This record gives sequence, structure tokens and C-alpha cells, in this order.
Amino acid sequence: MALSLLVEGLLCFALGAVSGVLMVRWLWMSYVSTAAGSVGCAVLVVAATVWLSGPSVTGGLPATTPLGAFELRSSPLAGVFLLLTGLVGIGIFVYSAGYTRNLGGTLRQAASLALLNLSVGAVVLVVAAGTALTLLVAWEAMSILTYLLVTVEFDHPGRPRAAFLMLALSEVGFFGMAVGFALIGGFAPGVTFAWLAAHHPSGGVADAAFVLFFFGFGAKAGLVPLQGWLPEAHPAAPSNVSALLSAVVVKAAIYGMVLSTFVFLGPPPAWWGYLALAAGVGTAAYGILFSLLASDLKRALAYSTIENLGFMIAMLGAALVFTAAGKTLLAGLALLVLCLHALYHALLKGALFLGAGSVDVGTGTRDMDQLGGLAKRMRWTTPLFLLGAMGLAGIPPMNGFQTEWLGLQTLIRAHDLSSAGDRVYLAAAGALLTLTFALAVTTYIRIVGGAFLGAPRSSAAEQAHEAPRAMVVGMAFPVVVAVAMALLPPLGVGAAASAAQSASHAPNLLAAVLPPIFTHPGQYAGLVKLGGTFLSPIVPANGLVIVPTSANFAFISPTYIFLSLAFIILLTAAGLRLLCRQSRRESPVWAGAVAQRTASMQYTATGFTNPFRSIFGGVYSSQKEIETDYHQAPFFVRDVRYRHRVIEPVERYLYRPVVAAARLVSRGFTRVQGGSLSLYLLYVFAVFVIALLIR
Amino acid sequence: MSRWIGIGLHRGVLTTRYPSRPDPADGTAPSAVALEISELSGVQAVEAAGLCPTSALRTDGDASEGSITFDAGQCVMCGACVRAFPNAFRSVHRPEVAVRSRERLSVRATWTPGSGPALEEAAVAATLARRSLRLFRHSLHIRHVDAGSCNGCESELQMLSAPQYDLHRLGLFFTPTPRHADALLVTGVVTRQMEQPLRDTYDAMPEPKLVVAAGVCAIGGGPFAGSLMVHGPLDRILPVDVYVPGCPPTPLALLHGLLLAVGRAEERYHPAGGSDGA
Amino acid sequence: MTTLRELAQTFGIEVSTRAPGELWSEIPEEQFTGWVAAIAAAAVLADLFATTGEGEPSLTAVFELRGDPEWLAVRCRLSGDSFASITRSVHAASWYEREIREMHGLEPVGHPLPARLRLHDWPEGQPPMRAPVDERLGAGPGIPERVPMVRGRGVFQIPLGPVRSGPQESGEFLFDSGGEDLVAVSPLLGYKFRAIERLAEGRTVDQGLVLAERLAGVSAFANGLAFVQAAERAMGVSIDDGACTARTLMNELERLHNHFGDIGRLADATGLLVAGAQYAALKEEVLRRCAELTSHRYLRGALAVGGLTAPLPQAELRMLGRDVPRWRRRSRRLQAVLEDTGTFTDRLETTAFLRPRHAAQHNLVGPIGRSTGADRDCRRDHPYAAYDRVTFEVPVRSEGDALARLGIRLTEVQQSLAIVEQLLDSWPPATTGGGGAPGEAPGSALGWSEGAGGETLHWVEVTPEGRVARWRARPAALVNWHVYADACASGNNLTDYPVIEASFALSHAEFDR
Repeated sequence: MALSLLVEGLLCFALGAVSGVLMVRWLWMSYVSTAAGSVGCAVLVVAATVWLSGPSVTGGLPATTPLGAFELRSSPLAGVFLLLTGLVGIGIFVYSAGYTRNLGGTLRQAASLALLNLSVGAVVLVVAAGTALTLLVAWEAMSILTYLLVTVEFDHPGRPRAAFLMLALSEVGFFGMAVGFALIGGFAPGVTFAWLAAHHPSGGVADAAFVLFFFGFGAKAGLVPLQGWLPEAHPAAPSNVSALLSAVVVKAAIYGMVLSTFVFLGPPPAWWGYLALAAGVGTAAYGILFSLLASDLKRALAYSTIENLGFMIAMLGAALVFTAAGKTLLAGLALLVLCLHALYHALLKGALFLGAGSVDVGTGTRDMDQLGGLAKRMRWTTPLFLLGAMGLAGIPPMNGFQTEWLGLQTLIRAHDLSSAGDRVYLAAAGALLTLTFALAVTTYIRIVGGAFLGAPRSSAAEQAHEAPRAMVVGMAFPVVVAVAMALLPPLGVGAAASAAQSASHAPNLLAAVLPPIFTHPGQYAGLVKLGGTFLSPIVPANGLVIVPTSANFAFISPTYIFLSLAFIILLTAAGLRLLCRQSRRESPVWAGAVAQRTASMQYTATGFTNPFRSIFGGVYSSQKEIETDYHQAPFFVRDVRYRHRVIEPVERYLYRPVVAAARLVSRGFTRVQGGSLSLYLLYVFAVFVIALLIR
Repeated sequence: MSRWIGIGLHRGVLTTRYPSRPDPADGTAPSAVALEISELSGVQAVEAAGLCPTSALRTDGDASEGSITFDAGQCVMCGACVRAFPNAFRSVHRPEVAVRSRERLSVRATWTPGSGPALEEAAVAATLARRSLRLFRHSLHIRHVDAGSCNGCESELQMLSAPQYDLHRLGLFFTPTPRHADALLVTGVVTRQMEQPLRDTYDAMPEPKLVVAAGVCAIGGGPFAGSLMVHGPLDRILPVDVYVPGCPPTPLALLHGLLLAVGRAEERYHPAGGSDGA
Repeated sequence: MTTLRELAQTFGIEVSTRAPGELWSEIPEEQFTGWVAAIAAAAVLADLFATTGEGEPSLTAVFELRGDPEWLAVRCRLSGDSFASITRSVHAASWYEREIREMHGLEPVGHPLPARLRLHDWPEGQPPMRAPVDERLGAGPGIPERVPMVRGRGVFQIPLGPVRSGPQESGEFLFDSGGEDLVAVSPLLGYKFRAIERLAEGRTVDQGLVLAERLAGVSAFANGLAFVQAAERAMGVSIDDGACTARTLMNELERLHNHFGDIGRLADATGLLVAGAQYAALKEEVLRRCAELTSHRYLRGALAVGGLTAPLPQAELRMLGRDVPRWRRRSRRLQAVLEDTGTFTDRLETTAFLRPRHAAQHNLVGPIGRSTGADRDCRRDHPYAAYDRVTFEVPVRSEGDALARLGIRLTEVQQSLAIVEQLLDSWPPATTGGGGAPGEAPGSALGWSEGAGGETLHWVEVTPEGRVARWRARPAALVNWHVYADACASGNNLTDYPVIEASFALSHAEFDR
């Protein structure tokens, strides 16, 4: 049942791919293609719910290769990632029905739609893989297909290079994964993930495998220092592909990290957790710091993705630390946060990227310093974008707030650990994460305020129009699902809990995090006294309060927060309506009675975060340059040019030297490949002699 | 930092008790001029009008038969008439010189060949504050606009925040935005270039609102009336509730004007009232 | 070390002495630009203005030279409505020429940027100094759009509109900001333009004095004094000793209340409210003392042509004598604590920096000029009233930042108190002026005084009937506003702006007139 649903989904994607290709001949095939994709994703959602509830099922192809067999495997851990793929996928496919028209040319549209279906299929295979070979083949397929998807608009400058960078780093990661699998014996005949789950390596092999898997999967998961492709590829790709990358593909990598660490490798030593925690927090901080400076809308969102991925990786690290200390329930909690955040982030960030595409279509630009005033002109995209931004920024009672709160609570739970070093380490990580969350709020305020609010800063923004209906609906779907999940925690937390429980083997994780107050009010008297049974007859759930495994520690209920907020706001609005009898008069915005108010008299997105250039000047190596031009006479300034130079450390201090070294080495090799026939004959002769000697 | 606290405490309280008690600073700068008509002859009236640099003193006719109009709303306190005819023109040292209507600032006296100058019309009755302004009785937020002053009035307004006067203790505050303002305090003649900003500021204030014209430039144009760059009196542009004469009005006169606007003080000044202006 | 006379001889200009201490020369139009540029290279151009009353339009340039107590005024009559600009060689003339162009309609040919200085939406072809006084002047071309001066990613503008936040004068400043730093400031002045010079034409000298005292409020006496001295020198009226001493005293009292107010506002701008309140209290005490001496807090109505309107009352002078040591003690104490407050001085150091060589091209006056090394003070260089009888120091610094300006004002406070004490000790027994034998009446003359803001220069032309034919007011702020934008653009933050504004303490009324 579990796998048959999966196969049905894959067949839908195959249909979608074929009809996408056929679109070249019959234009209406594009609708078939996107419909097939959406249906396939819906099937995936159903399959995921089955996977989340049931035990693991495997099924495979009869053929075997020297590197192992092709096998599919359903598991609750994979289930949550399948769920998010399906939910976001529906949105992406519906969106693509309206968006691909802008790619320029039927051929590109067809290629884009076909590749989209195939890519989603490949991601599904990654998540559903049961053997090392399946995973790696699906991974490569996913990399290549997404590379092709990104380069659909290859004539725009810079895009091929961005896609190539993505592919290159993906291959670096692939190399790490492949060697990791080889180390733990994943390619031996008859070795499946089930076998690997039962036979854990130990000692140095495990350590080496961990590092390889961590950085191998991490390359696709935006782990610093391998994150360089993310901020390049996301803006370069068409928006539906950016959503795919940010919502689905990177989550597949996160799935790989959790899978390799918790399923393949055995009880972890503490340093794995420290490494993962440090890497995660560092990635999160790096991502958000650069998101503050980006003026391209999608680049800012891409860096924010890096920040969220860092948070997830940090939770992975916390889970490892807890597991090493024997606190399985807390490890499960940490993994629950990871899965929950992956789910929420996929939905919301996918929606935001789709929204960025709507803005691009509606205005023709993604430069936030040129946008503004879209709230009145794009009346649907703006509130949807705002909801998505609020969700990711962590405004209560939205999704980001839940996972960020729960994640920080998890780190605070470190006081249960016995080792003081552990406690300090986790606390420090928590402090840094809090800083990144605060900066994330700033980033989203900047993005929403700069792009949507205020007055239009350019004619492109002035003449903005709303995106086609399909795009709006496609963006709305994940937002609506995310908001529903935010207001009804059992939806998302339930899925994440079963995934985390299967990976961490923590007992009764769901009941620990979402106490069944409705069904067992007696056990939670404290929460009941605070109103924890409110809505119990109406909502078919076990409870609506989230706790970090202990209600005595802390608790929130997003549902109740939302209800109270709604109540207060409505009460105030009604009160004002009834009590305020004054007539209203509108008057222009007050600006000191200046004669002309132009669009340049408002903060820009870049200006909003200018102070950070100085505060974090060390990270950015930022330099300010002011050049003044004069008229023919001195003292008469004609214009002044103001510029900031910012360096991205990873790109400057890691990639460039590596690329330079590689070029050096390859130049060295050209000497070997002299091109002269006699030289090659000499090589043949030398090899012949050596072969004779060895024989 | 602690040294500053020490300095402040050591200096003690400097604030005046006005309006609950008269202020000793009353006696220094005169706030207005009052006309004692019985001491002025027709000849003197014509001479005084010749001395006046603005249109505060105007005469019709001649020494034997004519009239003199004394408009305190145009008096720039140059002191020429006071020095020339100290019995007829007396300095008013009490600070309560603000009035609610423009007519209350001027008097007219006529003389004929047989008799000396006599005041013409009855004094305009003091007007009451608008009922709606009771709202601001104990808390008035003032938006000040400089519509083209010489900065003397601004200096006196800034002195209102000095320790000796401290307008905050009376519930008076300067606010930077007209959206929160209850009263618009205008100083200076309304120049051509400040007219639109002034109107914009008035429009940006929500009802109910007050307008206070401080200084003779705002009341009647002062010495700048007639300039091609000047629109002249404020009440040609905005409805004015309180007029505070002076060039510049002393801080205590300004306080009285603001308190008058919110109904916490009474009109006391009359241009033909003699030395105490009562 | 030459004198202006020698300088003029070097250039072959014939000078004559009209009013005492004032050299005068009329130069043909075609030589004017060359001579003025040449003299300005060696001496200091103090003023450049036009006269377009009856008769031909003319230009007058006024020079002074360090070390020479005399002034040099050079005039040329223009045949047409244009003249050759000297801005390219003498940058200080730039704003004077712009004012001539917009007020008189005389075109400075060759000026790099002869934009309007004070007029906004004013119809073309109607220069205010020549246009008929007519309500129906018609509409202007509309306020020109302000083009942002700074280009760059993310640069935006913040308008600090004509209506300011507190009880302040009206003027507009358009900031170009990159986010938190202040890249450039474009002031738009002229909102308070009252055409005061035009108003005075045709009025009696006494009425003109009333106008001059009301050109500005905080510098009412300095402007009034400069005007009345110009009128007296033009009409050949001499003043007696007692009036001179009283005038000197009042000049110093005005300097005191100005400096107390400016230092207090600077402290307020940095949030040092106790210091701000203490200095405001001192300013109020000085104003009250002024009111007791002259019946006016700002010393209006005390001056008269030929002396004073009334002698200063002896009892109040004695009370002033008791005030001075008290003010000295208090201000010294406040100064010591101010200079010791690190958080305060840190905000002022290097803020609103004016490069001395850059500033020198603008011929700055007053404390602002002295903070950039420009050692100019009318009281010492061209002694007027009773300044030749008192000794005092003129503080000069070269750092050019807000801290230097504060230091100069603090020192000047002490010097003013010392001058007041010297005057009170040697008060002459004579009464008001109006006495003395009338001297020559050249009909037009310069008058000057050192206000708190700096050298205030007036030029008055009087008809034989005693009416003002032309009045040129060049208060100190007219010169110093020229460098305001440059000081703002010297690498400051938005939060530094109140400090910049308070350290300059420039008067809009003096500039707009």
C-alpha cells in the first residue's frame, strides 16, 4: 500500500514529463503536465500519511548490479519529507501552469515542465531509496535534472555559471556520500538500509563515515563552507525551480543527513554533536548576516534558506549530543524540531519563492531598491507574502515561532545533561541562534517593507500588476496549509513526531510534545487549570498545547494564542467603531510640510540594514567609498557616488584559492598532455614497460 | 554624570510661581503699551503718530480735529511714544496681555476743536473660550510654526523651557508632529514662501484645534506689513483664537496667552487702560 | 604686511577716504572683475552687493585686510544687466553673486551654478529688489524638483522639512543618507525671506533702525548697531563717549546671552539636559538684566542715531556689576564639568569637521571661522564704539570641528565678562549722545559690529532728506551658511545632525532677511 501509492505518484510524474514534452506539438498539453504533477504530489501526500503511521515497507526491482540492488523503502522519517515534497509540489505545479509562459518560447516551457516532473520524481526516489545505489543514482539524477532546470534560461548572463557552481558542489557532495557509503559497506550485495540500520560500524570507520556523510549531504543542504551555490542558483533559476530547490531539494539533503547519522551510524560520540551544532549555528549566522545585505529579493530569500538549514543542522547536532548523553527523549525532541521546521520551512519558503516569482512577473524586477508600493498593486500576492514572511520570521503564533521556540527550549533542556561542558556548549549555541532569529525578523521586515510597502521607487513598480490567477493560487496553497498547520499543531507535530520517533527511537514522543490533554485531562491538571481543554469538543485532536517534553518546563499553544489575538483585535476594532463618532478626514503624510515628497524619501531595503554593515564589519570586510564629482570649478559638486564593498568570506577565502589551485594543477597537467604524438607514444611505452615489470 | 546631578541640585529651584503668584520678573520687560487718553492732546497725538514706526498709532485729521487709533497689535515696543509722552503712553509691566479677539487690541479716540480726545467706542467685551477647548485645559500640545519671524519669538519660546519658566509644569508641551497637536502657535509674518507649509501644517492637525498668533508680526504684520514678500496678518489665512502682542512677547506673556487659550486665564489687558492695562 | 591703501596702489586704483576708516574707489566696469579678483587674492572679500535703485545699476565690493583697520569699498557702474563673475577666482563671491542675480536681475556671466539662493516658486523676470510692489505678481514656475545629489545603491533621502520639530526657525534640509550615515545635506533656505532691504528704502533712518533691529532677534543689537553706525557715518553724526561705552556693554551682553543659549542647546542636542538647563537659566538672567537696563530683553529700542534713546540707569549698572562675578563663577564651573564629561566631548570631536583650507576659501567669520583658523574679529581689527579702550583675547583654533567651536564660545564668554567688568570700572560720567560737531556727510557708509555669530556688515545710503536710499545687510550668518553643507558631509551620522546644527547655531532669519 505504502509503496504502491508511491509508484502511482511516480507514474503521474512520468505522465507529466511525457505530456510536457508533447506540449511542443499541442499547447494544451501543458495543462495536462501540471495537472499530472499536481495529482502526483497529492498522491505523495496520501502516501506520506500512510508512511508516517505504518512500519517500514520495502520493495524493489529484481535486477541487481555489482553495486547492489535497486530498492525502495518506506519509513516514517522519509514520510515527513515525502509529505512536504507533496504539499509544496502541489503549489509549485499549479503555479507553473501560469508561470512557465514567461520563460520565452514553447521549447523552454516544454523542457521546463518535463524536467520539473522528472525532478520531483527524482527527489521522491531519493527520499524513498532503500539501498545505497538507489539513493546515489536518484541523487545524481536529481542534481542533473535540477541543473538542467536552472539553465532553462541559459541566455541570461550569469545563470549558466550559477548552475554550474551548483552542479560542481553537488558533485563534491556526491563524492563524499559515495565514499561514505563505500566505507560502511553500502555497496556490498544484499545490503539495504534495513541491513545497515542493524549493523552499525564503529570506531574510526564510523567517525570517518560521519564526516563524509555530514559534509557530503551538507553540500546540498547549504552547509557552510559548501553553501556557495545556494545564493547563486536560487536567483538564477526560474521561480518555480527556486521554490523546488529551496523547499524540496535541500530538504532531501537534510533527510540524508538525518538518515546517515541516525540510521546507518550507531551510538554517536559527543564530538559529532559538537561539530554538527557548531556547523549548524555557523551556517545559520552566516546565512542571515548575508541575507541582511542582499538587495535581490530571491538572493535575500536564498540566504535566509541557508539560515533555516543551519537551524535544522544545529538541531541535528543537539540530537547527537543528547543521544551521546543517553537522553533519548530529548534527542527525539530535537529531531522533532528538525522535521517540523523542515516541513514548515518547505511550505513557507516555497511560497515565498513563488511569491518572488509573482513579483518578478508583475513588475519585471527583483531588485528591492526598485520596488515598493506593491501592496496596493498586487493585492493577493502581498498578504500571502506577508503571511509567509511572518511565518518564517517567527512572529507568534505562526510556524516559525513554534519551531524556533521549541528549538531553543530543546537547547535549554541541556540543563538536564550532566556534563558542564555540554551545558555551556548548548547554551552558547542557543544564544547565537537567538541572535540569528532576531536578525531573521529584521530581514523579513526589510524584505516585506522594502518590496511591498511604501511608495513605488521606480516606474517598474509603479506599473506593477498582479500575477495570473494560477500563480496566485499556486502560492496560496502552501501558505494556507502552513497557516492551518500553525493553528492546529497536531497536523504538523504529529507528522514530525512519528518521523523523529522512528529515527531516534524515543518512546511516545508525540504524547511527550503534544500532551493528550483532551483525552487524559487528569494527568495534566496544571494545563487544564490554565484552559488546556478549551475547544476539546470541537477539534478532533488530543491536545493543542506544545511542550518540550515536560509541561512543567514551558508550554505554548499557538491555537489559543491566535484565538486570543483575534479576540482582542476584533474587540478593539468593534469598540473603536462603536465609540468613535468623529468624522474622518484624510490628510497627506506629514513630512515637515516639505514641498515635494518623492519616492526617494523613504527608507530603502539596503539603507534599512546599513548599520549592520558597520556593526558586523569584521564579517563583511565592508568598505565605504564616496566619490565626488565637481563641475568645472572646485567646490561645485555635481554628484556624489556612494558605494559599499562587501566580501563574502567563503567565496573569497575558500573557493577562489581552491579554484586557483585546481587551475594550477590542471595547467600542470596540460604539460603532461603535451599534444605531441611522440610524447604519447613514450607514455604508452612506459606503461607497457611498467605493466611487464608488475606482471 | 553624578556631577551634573550635584550641580542641578545645588542650584536649587528657579522656577517662577506664575500664574498662581505674580512673578518678580514682571517688573523688568514691559509686555505692552497702554494709552492714557486723558493725558494726550491733539497736537501730541499727531506727533506721536509721526514717531511710531509701524501703523500702531495712526491719526486722521490734524491737531485741532481728528482721531487717533492705537492698535496694540502693531506695537513693536520701540518705546518712542513712551519716551516722548510718558504720561500718555505707559508701559504695561504685567504679563497678561493676550486677548481673544483682534478688535480688543485697538482703541480709537477723537478730538474736536472744543474738547480734548475722548475714547470712541465702548470696549469690545472679553470673549469666552470655546467650549470644545475644555479638553485641553490641563494638557495642551503645541505645534509651533515659524512663518517668517526674526527669531526673537523663537528665542522666547525656547526660553519657555528654561528653568525659570518651565512650561511643562503647566501641562503645556511642544510636539514635533501636528498629528498630536492641539494648538498651532504661529510666530512671524506669513511670508509668501512659508504660506503653503503653514497651511499644510494646519491641515495636518486634527480637530478640535486652536491657533495662537504670537508676536505683532503674526497679529498685524509688524514692521514688515506691506512688503511684497509678506502676506501679512495671520488671521487672513487661518482662524486665530488668541493674539499675544509683543515684539517679542515675553515668556510670561506667552504663558498667559497659552493659558488663555485653554481657559485657565482671563483677558486683562486693554489698550486704553492706563499703566496697569486693566 | 601691507595695508589696503598700499594694496590699492599696487593695482593702480585711486582711493579716497569718505567716512573715517573707509577707503572708496570707483572703477570702470571692464576693469572691475580683474581688480576685485586680484585684491581678493591678497585681502579678504567681506561683501559684494548690487544697487539698483534710481540710476544705473552698480556693484560694490568691500574688502578688509588683517592688520589694517581700514576698509576698502570698490564700486563700478554697470552699463547693462550683466557682469563678469569672479566666482571662479574668488569662491567666497559665489553666493553673493547668486543673490545679486535673483534679487536684482543682474546676470553673473561665467558663474558655474547661478541657481536661486532664497526664492523658491517666484516668477522669473521680477527680481524682488526691482519689481513693483504688486500683489498680482502672478504664479511662479513651480518649485523645481530637487534632484538627488548622491547616487548609489540604497541611497535615499530624508526631508527635514521647513517646519521643524520644536520651536525653531523654518528651513528645509534634504539629507542624502545611505542608511545611518549622512552622505550629503542640501539646505533650502529662504522660507523666511521678507525683503527687508527693500522695505527700508524710502523710510526714515529711524524707521530703518527699527527694521534693522528686527532683522534678527538674538542678534538684534549687533544688526542695529551696525546699521546705526553706518547711518551715523553716512550722515556725519558723531557719538559721545558715554554712548560708545554703553553700546559696547550692550554688544557684549548680547554676545553673552547668545553664547549661553548656543552652548545650552549644544548640550541639549547630546542629551546633557542638566547642562542645557543651567545654561538656559544663565541666558535668562542675562536677558532679564538687559531688560532692566533698556526696557527690552533683546536690547531693542536702546539705539538711536547719534547715541542712545536713554542713558543706562546707574542702579541697574551696579546690579550688573554684582552679576558679573556670579556669572563668571557659574560659567567657569559649568565649563570645567562640560570639558570633563567624556560622553559629551566624544560626540563633538571630529563632528561637523571643516577643513581649514577649504573653509578659508569662504572667508568665514565669527566663532565658526575662528574654529578653522580664520583669525578675524571686528572688535580687534576695526575697533568701533569703545573697543579701543578695553583689552581682550580672541580665541582661535584650527581643528574645525564642533569641539573647537564650543571651546571658542566658552572662551569668548569669559572674555565678554572681562570686557563688561572693564567697562563698568571705567564708566564715563557723560550722558546720552547726539552731541559733538557734525562731521562730513558722505551720504553712504559702512557700519560694522561683531555679533555673537561674527562680523556683521551693513551699508547704508542716505538721501539728504534723511531717508534710506539703499540698505545692504550682510549679517554673519550669510557668510557662514555657505559651509554648512560641507560640514554636514564630512562623514557624520544621522544622530550627529542635532550636534552639527547646534554647534553651528546659524540663524535663518539673518540669511533669509
